[in-house]
Amino acid sequence: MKNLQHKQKYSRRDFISYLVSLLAIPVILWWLITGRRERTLSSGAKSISLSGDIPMGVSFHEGFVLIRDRESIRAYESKCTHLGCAIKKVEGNELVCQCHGSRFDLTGNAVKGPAINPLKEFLVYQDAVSGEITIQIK
Amino acid sequence: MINGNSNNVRLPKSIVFDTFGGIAVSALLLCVISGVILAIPYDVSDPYLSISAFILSNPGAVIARNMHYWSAQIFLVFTLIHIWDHFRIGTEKGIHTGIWFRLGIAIFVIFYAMLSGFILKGDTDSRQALRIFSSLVEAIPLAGSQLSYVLLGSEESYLLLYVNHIAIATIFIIAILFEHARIIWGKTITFVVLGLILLVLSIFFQAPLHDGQSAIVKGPWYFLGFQEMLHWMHRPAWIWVVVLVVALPVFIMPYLAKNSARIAKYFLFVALVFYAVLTIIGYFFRGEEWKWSWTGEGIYMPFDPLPLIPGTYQDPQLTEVAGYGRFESCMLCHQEMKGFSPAHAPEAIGCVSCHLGNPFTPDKDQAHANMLLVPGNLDNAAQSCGTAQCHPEITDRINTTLMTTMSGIISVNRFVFNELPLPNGYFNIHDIGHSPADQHLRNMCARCHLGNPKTEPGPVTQESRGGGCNACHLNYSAVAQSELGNFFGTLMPDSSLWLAHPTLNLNISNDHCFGCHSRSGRISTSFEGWHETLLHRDEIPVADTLRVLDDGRVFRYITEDVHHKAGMQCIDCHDSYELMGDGTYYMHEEDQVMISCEDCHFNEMPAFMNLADLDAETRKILQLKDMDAEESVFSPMGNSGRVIWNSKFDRQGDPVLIGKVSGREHPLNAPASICSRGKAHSDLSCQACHTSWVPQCIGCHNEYDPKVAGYDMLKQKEEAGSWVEYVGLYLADLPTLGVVEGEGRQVHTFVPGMILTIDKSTYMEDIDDPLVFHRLYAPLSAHTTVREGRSCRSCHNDPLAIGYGRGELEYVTEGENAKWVFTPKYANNPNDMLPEDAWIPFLKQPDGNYSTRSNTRPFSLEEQKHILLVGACLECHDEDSELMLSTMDDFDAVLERKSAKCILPKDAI
Repeated sequence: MKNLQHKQKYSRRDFISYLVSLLAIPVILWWLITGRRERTLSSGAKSISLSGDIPMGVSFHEGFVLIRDRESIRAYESKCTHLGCAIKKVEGNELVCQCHGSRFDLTGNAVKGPAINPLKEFLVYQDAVSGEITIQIK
Repeated sequence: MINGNSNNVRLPKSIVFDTFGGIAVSALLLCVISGVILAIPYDVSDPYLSISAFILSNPGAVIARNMHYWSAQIFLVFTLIHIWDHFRIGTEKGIHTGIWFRLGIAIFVIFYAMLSGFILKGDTDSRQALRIFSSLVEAIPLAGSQLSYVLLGSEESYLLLYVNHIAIATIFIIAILFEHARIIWGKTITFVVLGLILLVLSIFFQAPLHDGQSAIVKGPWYFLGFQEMLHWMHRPAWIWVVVLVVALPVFIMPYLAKNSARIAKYFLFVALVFYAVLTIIGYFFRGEEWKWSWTGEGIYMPFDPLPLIPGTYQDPQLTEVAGYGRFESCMLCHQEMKGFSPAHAPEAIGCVSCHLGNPFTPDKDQAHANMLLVPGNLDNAAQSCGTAQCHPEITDRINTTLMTTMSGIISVNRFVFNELPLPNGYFNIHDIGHSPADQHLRNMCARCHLGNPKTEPGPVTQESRGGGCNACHLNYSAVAQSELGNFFGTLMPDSSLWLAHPTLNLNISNDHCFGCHSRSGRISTSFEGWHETLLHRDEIPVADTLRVLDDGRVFRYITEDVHHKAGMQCIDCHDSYELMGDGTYYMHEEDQVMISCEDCHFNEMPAFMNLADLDAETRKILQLKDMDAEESVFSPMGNSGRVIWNSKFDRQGDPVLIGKVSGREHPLNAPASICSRGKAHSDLSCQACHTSWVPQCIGCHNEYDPKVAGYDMLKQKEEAGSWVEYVGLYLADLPTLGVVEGEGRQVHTFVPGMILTIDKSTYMEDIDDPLVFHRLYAPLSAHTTVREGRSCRSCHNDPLAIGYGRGELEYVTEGENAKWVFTPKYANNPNDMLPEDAWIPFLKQPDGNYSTRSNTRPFSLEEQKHILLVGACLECHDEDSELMLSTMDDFDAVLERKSAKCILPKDAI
């Protein structure tokens, strides 16, 4: 009698459901791992080279903002640290995110929220001879 | 008609044809079908371009897209209603827990499918939404970044997102639906009725597509509550906690006891109401940068009410608008338009980036709706010239320039009307009220500011005022002007036949400045040598020294500025930061103008600057002017701190200034040695000696006439009554000299700008001081420069130069005594008993307000005596004599050597 009740508790349909659920785990894992591999492949070290002819002030480029003053050239990711929106606007001496109005000064620091973290700064190299500028994006 | 599962509310059976869930099923099916059709014209490698292409050429694809959009919205709405309906009657208890769990997951998948569809249109909103969701998913601990990639793909390619949208999410939703409801097709009647409703919706209301012009970035309507919440959060990853808190009661609902389930449902209801309020806030009351907006400008329509017009669709060979990655319908009719500068050519920026309108409809009326005929006015610059892709930094800072604010004019005018104690302060012409002073500005002056809109097409003329960006940058070719003439002459009413567009460029001639600057200080006319007379255009004699302006004023030729004679333009000296502002608010013109004579006329070579070190704007101008060639590598740094970027060294190595429009080279001559000899004149401005004449007016009276036809220049509206100005005399003479107190004392040129009376009682009754009288001189750089400086006697022996007005200044000696005697030319003004044209009383200490600036003044009594002491010497000694020249090195030493014959005024020594 006890064995019979046990059989009723797990029907064939239940068994199939559990089996499918078990199979889903490796599928999801494979999905995530594949995604990770692809992401890693696509996000390898990447640098961009520009001629040394960079104008003073702020200039926007694909994926980064370049700021040149008399002392230095700095590159920041043009991605708002609040939610990742593209930053494409400069107002006065502030970079402005149009999604939620976060503002950053020209050293990348957040001066108005909602963003609180500074912009990610990329390494910038300048060739002493040719003047060519290399920005290490990733 | 529809009905839920409730037994409480029953509708007549004749109008009930399905449940909420049944309608959602049919909507999903229609969404899938329309999605399959849409997949044919849609190109995932360039989604925005492909959508803009079929929107203009393929009405079938447009309907498929619209149906896809509308069916998805209906599916979402009815799915949510269906869920709530089941919650209301408590049927969750009857659902297998596994199915319940998968249904819970399906809600997330549905939102994912909706959101991925929103992103796949590839416009501005979509790209930002992708970044936001990637950022949020990446913030999930452990698997965030992998999850972000597999769910959303990368910014560079929408392929993975596309596959997820059309296959994985769709299959999942259909599978869960089938498991849950055991149906795929739903009822035929629902399918047909819903299909017809969707068809009507799709014909009349287009699915949204951002035109890239609006700076407002908002997600889909069902996401706006989240966007509002995210805006509050410094660490937005916490939004997942909010999601979990709301999702948890849903997932555990079947396990809860009846009372607990009721509490959970109340909680969900409150959360729903709260979210609805946030959504309404986000939808109606948030604008650019998610700032509060009460004007409705931020209202985001989830659809465009644009009915499809049969017969308007064409299959033309359109040019892609490179700057926006799309096609624009404007080119269906205006493809042949020419005349643009390269940066403003349609293939670069399209038409909509300036003129607005709708680029995504082939119908003329729809495309022209909300279009700007004249873009570039400051009230629309944020949507046209000043969008993020174009010149946002300029349209932002141009609001600070005095040419926009008119701050100095406002403060001086209020000061003159006794409404301000000092002529200082920061004001804006748009904020003035209706006090006597402000009404005076409204009637007389309030058109000459950049914010005054240009309302009709046409070139900048002598009578143009304001016009925003057009004020300086608009140029009409002869062909464009001819076409415009034909348009106004109704010979060419159909603008699609026009072939010539005016050009927006940097060819800013003196004519652009002339309209406004031929008034008040009259710099433009003076620069060209013209002095205004009181003659009427109908009474002038035939004479080649007279010129009639378009507004009827008659000018007489005196002497043109030496720079004008050399072919120089206003912009050759005044750069973009002076003209368009540098982001700083200034009180008066002389505070904003940075260029000085010494910037170009120097003795010692100033510092130099490599072109690469120039700011981006100046670099851009150099590029556009083709002046960034190798020979212009260096630019002298002006004494003002501004770079004179239109300069270089010629082949002989001498510095030259390059005409920004003409390209002509002008030698930068060093000042004459006399200019810097000794210390005697070290505090003189260059203008003090080299101004050949200044326009002057004396004896002006102002009163308000309530009967004349007036015009409020700010409102641009005719109205009864106006301030009326009765002028006295217009004169052209050498300037009077006075003192500018700043970091150092400087002698500068002044004109009698405000010797006037104002009868305020004519405008306002019961006023304390009805009759205002002022004798105020204003500092003015007249722009009538001549190579030769004025003579010594013209300052030291001239009553006009010192401030006494015109007349005879005699040096009278009696024995060993001597004194100056002044006989004025004009009678005394009864208000202060000074000669009409005087600035100060003869040989007395000036007291009170004498100038339109708080940092300027006439000569003190002590200074007058010093000037006249030299004048006394000049009565006998030739000004070119070595003795007089040596006084410039050390006047006191010369004075000690004076002979017994020299008779000087005793109290001056």
